[in-house]
Amino acid sequence: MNRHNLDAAIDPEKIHVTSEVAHGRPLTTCVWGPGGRALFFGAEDNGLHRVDLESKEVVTLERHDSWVRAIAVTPDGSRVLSGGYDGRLIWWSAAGDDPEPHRVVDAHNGWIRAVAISPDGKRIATCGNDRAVRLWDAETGMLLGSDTAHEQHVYNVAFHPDGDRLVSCDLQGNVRRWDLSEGDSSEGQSSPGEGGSTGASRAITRVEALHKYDTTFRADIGGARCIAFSGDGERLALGGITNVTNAFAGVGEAVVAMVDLGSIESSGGDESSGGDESSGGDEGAEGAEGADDPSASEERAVEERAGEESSGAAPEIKLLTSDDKPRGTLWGIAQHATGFWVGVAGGGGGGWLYFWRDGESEAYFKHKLKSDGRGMTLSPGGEELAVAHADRQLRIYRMLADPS
Amino acid sequence: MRCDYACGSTEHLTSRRRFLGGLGVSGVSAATLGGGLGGMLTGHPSMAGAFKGKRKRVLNIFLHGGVSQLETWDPKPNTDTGGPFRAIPTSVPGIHLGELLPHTAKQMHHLALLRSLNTNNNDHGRGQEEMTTGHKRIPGTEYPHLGAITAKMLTAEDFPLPGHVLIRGGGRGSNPAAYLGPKYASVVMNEGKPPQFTERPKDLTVEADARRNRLRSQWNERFSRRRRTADTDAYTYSYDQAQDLLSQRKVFDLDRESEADRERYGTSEFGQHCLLARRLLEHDVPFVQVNHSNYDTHHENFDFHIEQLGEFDQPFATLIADLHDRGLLEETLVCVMSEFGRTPKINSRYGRDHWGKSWSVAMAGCGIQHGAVIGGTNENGTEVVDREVDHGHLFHTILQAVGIDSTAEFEIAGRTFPVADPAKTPIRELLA
Repeated sequence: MNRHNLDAAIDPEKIHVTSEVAHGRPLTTCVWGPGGRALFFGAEDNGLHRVDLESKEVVTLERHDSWVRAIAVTPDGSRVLSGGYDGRLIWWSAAGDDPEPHRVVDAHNGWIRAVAISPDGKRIATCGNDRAVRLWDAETGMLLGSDTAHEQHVYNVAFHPDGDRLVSCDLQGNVRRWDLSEGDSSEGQSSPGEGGSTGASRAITRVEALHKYDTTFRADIGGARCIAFSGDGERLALGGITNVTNAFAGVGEAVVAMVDLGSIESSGGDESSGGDESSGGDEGAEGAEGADDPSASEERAVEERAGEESSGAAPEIKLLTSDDKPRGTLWGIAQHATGFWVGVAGGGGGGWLYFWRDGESEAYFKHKLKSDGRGMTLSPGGEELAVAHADRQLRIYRMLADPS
Repeated sequence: MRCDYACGSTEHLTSRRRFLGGLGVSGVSAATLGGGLGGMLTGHPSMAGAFKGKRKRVLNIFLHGGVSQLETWDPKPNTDTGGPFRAIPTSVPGIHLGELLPHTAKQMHHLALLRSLNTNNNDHGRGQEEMTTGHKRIPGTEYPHLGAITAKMLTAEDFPLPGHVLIRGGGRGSNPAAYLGPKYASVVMNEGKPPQFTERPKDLTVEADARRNRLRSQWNERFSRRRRTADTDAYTYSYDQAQDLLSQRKVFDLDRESEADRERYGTSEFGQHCLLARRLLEHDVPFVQVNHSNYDTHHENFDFHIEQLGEFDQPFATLIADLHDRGLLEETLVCVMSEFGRTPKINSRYGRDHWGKSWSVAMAGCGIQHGAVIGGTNENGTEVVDREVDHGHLFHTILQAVGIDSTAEFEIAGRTFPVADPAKTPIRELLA
């Protein structure tokens, strides 16, 4: 089947499980490896695991002292990077033929929550609980710069498809942009690493829907649990939990906040004091922060303070959800090459895959999973996706008609 | 059980101060006082020694919701239940704590860990009640809180401050005194603010206030000759206590602490409450409880423990070090407890649920071993394998550590009530 015919045949509504890989512990995340022949996953253990999709053989790479929930593969498929809750960033051979790490760096003080690799494969970005975003040379492992402008744990980071910009999002939904092509700036709190200078980050927006301070339990909940750019780089998808009514029981709804970066680019500004969140489409404000939410005014005040450092147009933000208001957290989000978006959720409502047509806010299809989803990755060819499940299974799903 | 005066003893007319201190403190024998106000200790053979030695204090830090033993006192790294956190060494070789307690780890030589609690309960209300009263919950029966017993037994005569102070930062509103009478219930400092109604209204002069109180006292005295109850005594006591507190209000004022100290304890509410606790203990308040909320982490246990223990660790460690440096730790028993622990099994939402079968508490200070671990759990923490105890044993131990005879009994209206569960005994290995 040629590419055109394959794309035309891909249909989420035909999704079905094609294989399962059992593991001894619940899984935490998964990433498709080079050429589609292998998958890497993390679990509630200290290993980075590589499964050969033909033989189903699993090789465990061990050098972390804690769980691994951040994995990225270089574009040329030669290396896989793992970021652990031990703060270590480790370079491995992606072929899995060498159990020894290529390089180990103590990258963060505390958890590494995300690892991203630039489209050209030359730079690596990490973020974590030390409130830092760090930039690394992929070849030498040299620290190129650090940005410490976030005031909370940094939950996720991603390279813009042009490779010259990083975006990051913290626990309170603050989104910052780091222009890597710029020189030093008076704004932000970046510091150059050994390898030279980089620019400083700037606030883009604060996504109110992705944060709540639960006054009953006296704790914050929120952050971007998953992140993805649209293929054209115009939009940034941030997944997480919203409308939380009980943080400690996880009573809230899985959601995607779609930030329209193009709207601030085209308006001439590149920074914002806050987003204009709406659910878009025909659903009015459903899924967004309600007008009667007592925490909304407090959050707006925080947003205004956060915006003091910058001015400019506010990016438009759409909230993508489903009519069943899925109870849980969105742990994975990606745009398929054919345009639709797919997200995986886990939580009180169990595991679900949700599918949104590009530009729409209401999921047009959803698929119940056997267990909570904790991470998701699309296959290089696009006809399959893999989900890291809480029931100790890695499941491969095909979005084509089942030949049987 | 309601505290009333059915026995009609003339002892009920004794000054409230006489009763505040309890037997051992006031030096009046149990046989002389008999039953009555607030419940007297009976003529148990050990009553003469119901309170032993120098007057002690108790600081109870209650981590509401149920802190995870696996993230704190009994880490099991790299097991199926251990979670993502590592174990870190402490100031005592061979003893490890969860990595979220780096400051506390440096004070381990002052601490003792009890790693073998099996309270067999997963209910918040019941757990809180049983851990703080030492008794199994029996419907229709109310037992006095640890703070009420401590206040009764350790408050000095004519002590101008309340003997039982609860510094609330979430959690239940007050600690009950049950049959000991309302005067031993907690005086509450909501969010660390001084007790309510302890400030004279600005438009009321000292002279006018004194006249009002004299008139109130006359009426109270006349009323009490025929209709006295524990409740009316408590009302009277409340007024008297308020008068005392008016003159002692500075004790509750954190602004009198140095800026350096306030910084050392951190800006969090819990940090400031720990500093307030130090201040109260320095002023000899016999029982202080500080609540920290919340640890009921059914969802994302690890993220929330980072957040909550991040608030707990440094202030708690600073408080232990300060109490030691000031010589107060020799006279103060510190206990860190919850209503239960959390499940070893990690649920599908990265949470841990309620678990009473194998969990831990930490203690420090007078009367207990220092730098010790008592009891133990199996490899992944799912069951106690050494020296299994419950809340009843712990309650005896706390009281014995501060010199109170936990085997004594209170006599209320002709009935006797054991101070602690008579079916249980102190944990001897934990006592110094």
